[in-house]
Amino acid sequence: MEILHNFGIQPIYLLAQIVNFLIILFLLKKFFYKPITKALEDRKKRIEESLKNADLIEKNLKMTEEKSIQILEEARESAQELITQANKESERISQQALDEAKKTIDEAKKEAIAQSQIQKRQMQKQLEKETLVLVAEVVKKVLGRTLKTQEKQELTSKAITEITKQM
Amino acid sequence: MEAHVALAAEKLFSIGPLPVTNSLLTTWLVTIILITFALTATKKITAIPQGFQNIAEFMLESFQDLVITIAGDKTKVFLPIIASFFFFILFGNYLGLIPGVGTIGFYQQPATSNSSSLSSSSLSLGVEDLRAEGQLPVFVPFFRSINSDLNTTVALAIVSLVTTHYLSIKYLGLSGYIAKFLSLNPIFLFVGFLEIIGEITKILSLSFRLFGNIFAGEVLLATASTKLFAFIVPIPFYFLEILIGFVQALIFSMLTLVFMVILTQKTH
Repeated sequence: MEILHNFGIQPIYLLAQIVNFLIILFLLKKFFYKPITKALEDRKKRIEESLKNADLIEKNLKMTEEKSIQILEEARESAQELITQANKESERISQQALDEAKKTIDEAKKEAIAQSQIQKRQMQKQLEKETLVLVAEVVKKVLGRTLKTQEKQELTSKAITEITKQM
Repeated sequence: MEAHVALAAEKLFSIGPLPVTNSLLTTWLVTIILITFALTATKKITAIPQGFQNIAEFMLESFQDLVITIAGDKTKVFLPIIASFFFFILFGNYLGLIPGVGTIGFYQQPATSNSSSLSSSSLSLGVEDLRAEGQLPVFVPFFRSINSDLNTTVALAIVSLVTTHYLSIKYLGLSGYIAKFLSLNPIFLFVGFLEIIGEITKILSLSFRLFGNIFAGEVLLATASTKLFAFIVPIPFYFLEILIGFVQALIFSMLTLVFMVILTQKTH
């Protein structure tokens, strides 16, 4: 044990150093390694989460973009549809109006024709009557006597045929 | 001045029953510095590290990366012990390099080992006067590099070995731990016997390696600055000692780690 004495080894110093180191070990473990490793781990977790979130955000953005494009497309389509429908409707309405107008015109035309025919007939009748009187007068004057009823009728019908021929 | 570094640490004074050597005093200083640093670094832990926290994180993270490559999933248990060895030895070695540690002290009469010799008379007396009187005084520095005292390194080696065996029992169970050394097979029984001797010699190898390197460094620096030339000349030696201080701390902790990993592995 001479060598141990030369090196100054003494149990009490050994014990003091061991106790000292154990204190260091305990304190460092509690106040150094634990908080620091925790901070490191927390940061690692946070970075991982943020990266994941960034991915998610990018994905969502892409989806939103796609959706908005789709919505725009749909809106355009429906607008187009609306326009064509409106066009069709207006065409239909104008056609209808046209048809109605035509119909009214036709009706008016028909009525006018009918009216004119009636008038014509009336005029004819009047003419007939007047002509009859006129002819009777003329014959009276020319013959100097009144015609018998049979002659009157004959003459009248002859005159009428003549007049209608000329007319 | 004689360039002489005593093999054993010198006693300075006593606190009650505990005699305090200069290396023990330095140990306490290292402890205070280390704990203060740890507390300052972790006082305000923020997500964005600042100041000491940054340094502490760098130190611990790089060390952790090293330990993970060897210990794997046992890192969480081993790291505090290994890192404590590393930082304690590293801080101790570097504190020993600070000028004043090992050089500022007083002369003590060899006969009187009493602490009362811290008197002004022994300080004022020249070496030559004392030599003439036939009394060679012993130079006692106030602080001594902690690992140039064998007590420190043996203590560290004992803690290293005890924790290693404690972890072995914890991981393998008592039967698994005993099976590491005892076997019915005569060949393995002999191997186990050798292993037991190996475990005991670990204390010697760990402690003497660290002590030898740091003590030699102290002697080297003392010689370079007294026997050679005190200016400029010791600077390369200082760089060498900075390297050795780091390397020895790393060797001690890595060897402890390897011993732990080996002893906590199941036998096939």
